[in-house]
Amino acid sequence: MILNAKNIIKKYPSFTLDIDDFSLDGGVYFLLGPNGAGKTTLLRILSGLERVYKGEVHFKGKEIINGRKPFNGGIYPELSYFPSAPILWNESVKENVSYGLKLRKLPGHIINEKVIEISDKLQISHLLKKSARELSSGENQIVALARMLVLEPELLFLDEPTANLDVKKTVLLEETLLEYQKSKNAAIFWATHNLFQAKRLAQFIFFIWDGRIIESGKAKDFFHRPATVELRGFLQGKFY
Amino acid sequence: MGIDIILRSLWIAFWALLFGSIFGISIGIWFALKTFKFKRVLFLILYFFLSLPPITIGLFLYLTFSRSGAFGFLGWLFTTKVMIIAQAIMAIPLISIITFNSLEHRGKKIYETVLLLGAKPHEIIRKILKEIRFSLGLAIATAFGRIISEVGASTLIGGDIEGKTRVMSTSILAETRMGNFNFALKQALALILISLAINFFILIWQGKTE
Repeated sequence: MILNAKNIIKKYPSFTLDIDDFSLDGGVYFLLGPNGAGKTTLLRILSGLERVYKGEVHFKGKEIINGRKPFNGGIYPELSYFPSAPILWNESVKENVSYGLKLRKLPGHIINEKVIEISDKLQISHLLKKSARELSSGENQIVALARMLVLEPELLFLDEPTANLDVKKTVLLEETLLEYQKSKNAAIFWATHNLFQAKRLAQFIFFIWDGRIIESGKAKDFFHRPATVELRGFLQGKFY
Repeated sequence: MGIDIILRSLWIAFWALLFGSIFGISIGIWFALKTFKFKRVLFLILYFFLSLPPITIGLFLYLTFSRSGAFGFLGWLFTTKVMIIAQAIMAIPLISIITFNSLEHRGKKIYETVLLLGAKPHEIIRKILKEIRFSLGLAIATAFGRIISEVGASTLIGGDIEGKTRVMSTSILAETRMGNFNFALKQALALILISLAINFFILIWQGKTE
């Protein structure tokens, strides 16, 4: 089991996130739900970026969240979070992609090899010498993905990663992530409100509604037998 | 020419900028990254200090460091030490507000991104500083301009004592009053050249790191 979460509760004045137990293993999991359902909050909690009111999370058996205790950040970057609008440093693309590797103090030639490999895969080799400030928003997104994947995380939390991408780049990102998942047997927890993307990619789906996961199941069954009114409405496009 | 005066001015400005930068940058980063009670009040206080005329800072320090003041026992009045404190107090709000403004929208994102890539606290700070290096250059150059040319507080708490606390700005004032325009003009020229040189070096540093 890569991730095991128990009874996570986070309270805001007008919203409460209350998530029952769930686990993630190697595979592509989708967190599907309309805007404001709590997708980003849950991902940020699991990534250690938000404190919880209550709950426990274990990453590969190691406790990383327990109630209000500080998050165990020693597990970065094995666990990683990709926000919907990632930022790049005000430096060259190569510097951006290699930053995490330099933190690991890897030898220069290994850093170079890894940067070239991931850049080829994500078709950004021609951008390596460019300043990150000169990139389009789509290129920015792909470079940020390269910066994360080059560190080979085992658990990836992705928050609407294709929100700013055109069709071509969306396909590239989706294919790269699926291939990455298979090669590393990583766990991908992908938050979106894009039904079609979930249909294309998911192996398992959690449906979140007003701070609670109210339905979950294997992707092949999920769309055919919705048990709740909310999911039925969502699938019919009534809620977005 | 008064080389000793120029060196003393630079010495005082150096330490004031060093302390001002350490405190100012720390406060600016803290304000940008943390949410806490009374943040707005503290922010207002910073702006208040920014708009405070230097002479009032001088007066406050004079009373604090005079013999009957809280720190009178240190005997620092009319020394360069208290001049450094005064100039640092002038630099801190300026540097912290510019640091805060440069991080207000991106600061938390930079922090979280670096953290997720596995950086340790000192590596996070280094990355944040590198990301805002242009604003920091501006902050330091502006603070330098503010403190090196300041006269009121320096005269009040330094006493403009020749060979001890006389700095370029106070010497220009004193020499002009005595009709020694030649000396005052040379000092003014030196002041302008130093300010230009410092700005030049900051621009070169910013260009190199780009």
